[in-house]
Amino acid sequence: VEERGHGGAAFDPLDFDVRSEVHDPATVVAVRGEVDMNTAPRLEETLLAACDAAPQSLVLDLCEVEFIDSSALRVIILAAERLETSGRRLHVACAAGPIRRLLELTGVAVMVEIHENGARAIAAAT
Amino acid sequence: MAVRRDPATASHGGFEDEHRLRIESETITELLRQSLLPARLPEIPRAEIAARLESASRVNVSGDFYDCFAVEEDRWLLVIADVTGKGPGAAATASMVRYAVRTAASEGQNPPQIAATANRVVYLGRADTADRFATLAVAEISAVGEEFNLQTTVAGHPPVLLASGGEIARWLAAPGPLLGLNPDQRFKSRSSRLGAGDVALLYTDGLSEARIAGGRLGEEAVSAALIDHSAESAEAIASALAGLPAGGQITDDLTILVLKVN
Repeated sequence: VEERGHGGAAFDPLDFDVRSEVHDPATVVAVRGEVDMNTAPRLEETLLAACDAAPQSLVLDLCEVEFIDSSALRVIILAAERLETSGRRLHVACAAGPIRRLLELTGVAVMVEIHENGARAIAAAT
Repeated sequence: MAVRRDPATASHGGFEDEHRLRIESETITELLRQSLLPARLPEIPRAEIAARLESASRVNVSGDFYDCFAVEEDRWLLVIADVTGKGPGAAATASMVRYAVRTAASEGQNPPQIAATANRVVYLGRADTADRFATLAVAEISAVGEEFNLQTTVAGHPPVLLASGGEIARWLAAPGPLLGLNPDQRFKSRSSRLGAGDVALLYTDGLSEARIAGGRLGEEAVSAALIDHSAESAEAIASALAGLPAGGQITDDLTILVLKVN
């Protein structure tokens, strides 16, 4: 229960979307909107399920994401670490901008492979 | 906060029980929150400190905290951190970070060493707790004659801002990664002199990422507000910054630590 602020209802659920699509042999998890404390659990569920489905390569497409906070970083780290146990890397599509800067600033960028856009990420991943 | 128990109504369940549980939950949350914060801020000769922690929720403690204490007679540490997630688990990790920092400081470690210690503690903690990471900014100030030396280390955290002579210096150089990623991580630091009128600001992203009409507040707005208010007292600066989110509405906890040299 949020006591202050707009809570999630006014913004997040409407803005946020995450879907997982198979582009054989890669799986692409595409996210849209804002990933924060309210929406990160949905990203976690989808992304970790995609990791466990063990595709040859996994792409996280953040090109349509407007905002992420540390709860999103946590999910990306967990996914990267989960893939790493089987020798795989998480490919992240993310154009230059504040989100990419945050990935770099927090050290998450070195745990994943970053690409300019989804097509390049899929090409690199497969 | 005490709950009055009235035997005549206590057993009627429903609304009364819900109300009582809610008040107890808020009480526990408040106690947990207070246990993460210093009971009082230290007195630093020729300087003022002010702190704010504005919670987004009364019933759910988050992983933000600040700390400030004297390491030696003329040396103090300012600390601000943000643990991922919320609830008692995040508060437990925040407590771990807080005492890792205090222990490291008491052993004579400098800010990069303190960050490295806290990093190892968070990394090891991930084996026992839910996966939690933290961001941290540590600033050590030591008196040097009439001025202060400031040494800061930042780990995955927004930059420490310095307002001096109407300008902002962003301490972005060599920020380290989030705590808990790599147990062998080393951290860097930057040092500077602080003279009369200079202000150092440590804050969590609950401030810079607070929602405003049409988007998020942003670091530029924080910097601009810091310059606008830098001639005021530390308390007034902290209040002005905490008041930046439109209508005081926040969706994430907002923590601010201001040091002003007189």
